[in-house]
Amino acid sequence: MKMIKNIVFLFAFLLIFYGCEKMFLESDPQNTSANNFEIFWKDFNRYYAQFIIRNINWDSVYTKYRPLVSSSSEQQLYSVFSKIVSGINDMHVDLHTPLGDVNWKSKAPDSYPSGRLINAGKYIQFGLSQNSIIEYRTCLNSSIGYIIIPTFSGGTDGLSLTDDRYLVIDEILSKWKDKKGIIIDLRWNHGGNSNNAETVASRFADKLRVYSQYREKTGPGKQDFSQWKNSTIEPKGTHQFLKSVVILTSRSTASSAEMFVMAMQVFPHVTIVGDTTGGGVGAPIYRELPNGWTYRLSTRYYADAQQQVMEGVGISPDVPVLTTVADSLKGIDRILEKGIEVITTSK
Amino acid sequence: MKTILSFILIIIVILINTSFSQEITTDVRTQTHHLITFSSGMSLHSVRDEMMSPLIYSGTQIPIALSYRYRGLSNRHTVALFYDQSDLKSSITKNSSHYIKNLNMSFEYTFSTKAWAFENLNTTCFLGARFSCMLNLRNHYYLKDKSHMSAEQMTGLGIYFLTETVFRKESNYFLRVEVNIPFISYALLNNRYNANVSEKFGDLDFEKSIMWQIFKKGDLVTFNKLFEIQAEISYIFFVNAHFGFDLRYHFQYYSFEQFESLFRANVLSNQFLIGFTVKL
Repeated sequence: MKMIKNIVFLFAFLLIFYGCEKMFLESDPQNTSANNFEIFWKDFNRYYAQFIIRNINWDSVYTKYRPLVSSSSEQQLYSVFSKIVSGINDMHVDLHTPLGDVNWKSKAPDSYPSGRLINAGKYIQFGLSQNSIIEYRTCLNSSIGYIIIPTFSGGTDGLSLTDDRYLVIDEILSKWKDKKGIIIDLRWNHGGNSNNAETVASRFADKLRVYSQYREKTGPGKQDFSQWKNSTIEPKGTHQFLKSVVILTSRSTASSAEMFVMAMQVFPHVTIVGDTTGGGVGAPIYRELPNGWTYRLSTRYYADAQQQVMEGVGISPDVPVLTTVADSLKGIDRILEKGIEVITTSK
Repeated sequence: MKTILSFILIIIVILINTSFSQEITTDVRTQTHHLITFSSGMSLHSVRDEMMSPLIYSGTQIPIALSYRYRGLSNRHTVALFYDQSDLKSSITKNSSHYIKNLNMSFEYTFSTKAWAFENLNTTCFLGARFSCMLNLRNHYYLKDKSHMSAEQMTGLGIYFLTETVFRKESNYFLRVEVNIPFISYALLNNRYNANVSEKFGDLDFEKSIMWQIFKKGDLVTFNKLFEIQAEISYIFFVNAHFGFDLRYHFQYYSFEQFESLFRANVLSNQFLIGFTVKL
């Protein structure tokens, strides 16, 4: 009798354990080319917010490419997805697969050298101060502070939505409250977490202002968009710096860095110097397919405070300046020179 | 994983056999007890988070559970805390960087009172209510350091049903079976269309307390949005007057509507726990 009880008890455990997952959770979708294509297409149809502003007919993409994948190999599927992703031409639409990645390629003229500061000793004093995110130094003209923010990434894990490392800005502004002006260099900043961008920008805010507007895809229908929503910026932190500020931009300034530029642009004491920015905020999300491939797409489209859409266009500087390859070979950083000039001549 | 499961089952068999050979003869139904149990073991956790991925993610975890039970002559009170954390992987992407960091925490209090007694079966049934607060937080990592957060946080009241069977009339060995079905909950983080788009997140101030801002934006939900069932089979036996062991199988399944009728989070958890119990 005792043995029977034990056996019944154990069988009950096993039955519950082995039966549960299939009973309560549907199986994974099939990993076939056709199914992967359907999921990929439907995901964009549901979530992608920029078909209209980019003048893309997504139904015709289906009609054109769906017949090509009915029994295709992974290589063929990759080839089809590559064409679709490249055709969207959005910096926040890309594809990551074991066969290779498909990333956005800027169509802007290659007018700005990649890499870091050109001939720093000509403009900036030695003696680097930095935490793991932000570098800050003083220009040769010691009344001007120079900050370089190479990224806005960090701080999106779990419920910690901002990165405390960006709060070093309070310490910097405390030291530099007597400076005539500050240059913030974003020329190599590809973005990251827009909350971090807002954290830094709020230290330069004079009052609550709307700096950007956006609409987001809120449902599966083609016209399921939110009304225009405002992004606002307001003074925060221990010190506000309300004297002359110059933001240096390039074609590589993108995504959350462009949010930062839009936020700073609305303050009367800020001047944007350099080249037009990359042209994509988008609020991207990652998705994945049953074959394990990952892709990214934009869920919003952004405009500046005057509702001028900047997706695919970029933000024009107040003072357009280019540093050509020839300039950089001579050790001349024309954008930084102009930034210093703007502060030096400011009242 | 099957090796670990087999190991746990073997331990359960040994402990059950040991317990049946004990000769402690106290009729526990005529006494009041305070039982404090610390348990750990293995949890098998599976998630289909439709808002984030078409794939099921699953993994094993080592949970920690702490419970206090009051066993009165006609009432039962239980306070329980549960915690586990681990990485979940999909069947397709086991060798890639796609994974979920899953955090599962819960607190519950149950009160029940004697409803029926079946003397010939040595079984007593209790009926009552359960207050629970749970957080299931998932960080979906798609590429190296790119992640999206998804979560359910629910605080609710539910119907609680408990049966206790004493194996012999005068014994210290119980088989407990309990079933909880929440009927109303205050749910946070709901109505999200995707990782970015949510009317709940639109105007959060990220430099202020996120938890409090999110808490204020919760909704009351019932069976239309949340179906949950929890069941537990627990076998307790004492090796002497104060110390014993608790072998427990805990099952939890919930299906939570993330956005209208389009996406649901389906979470299934099977826990096999071995606990050390102190009777006061």
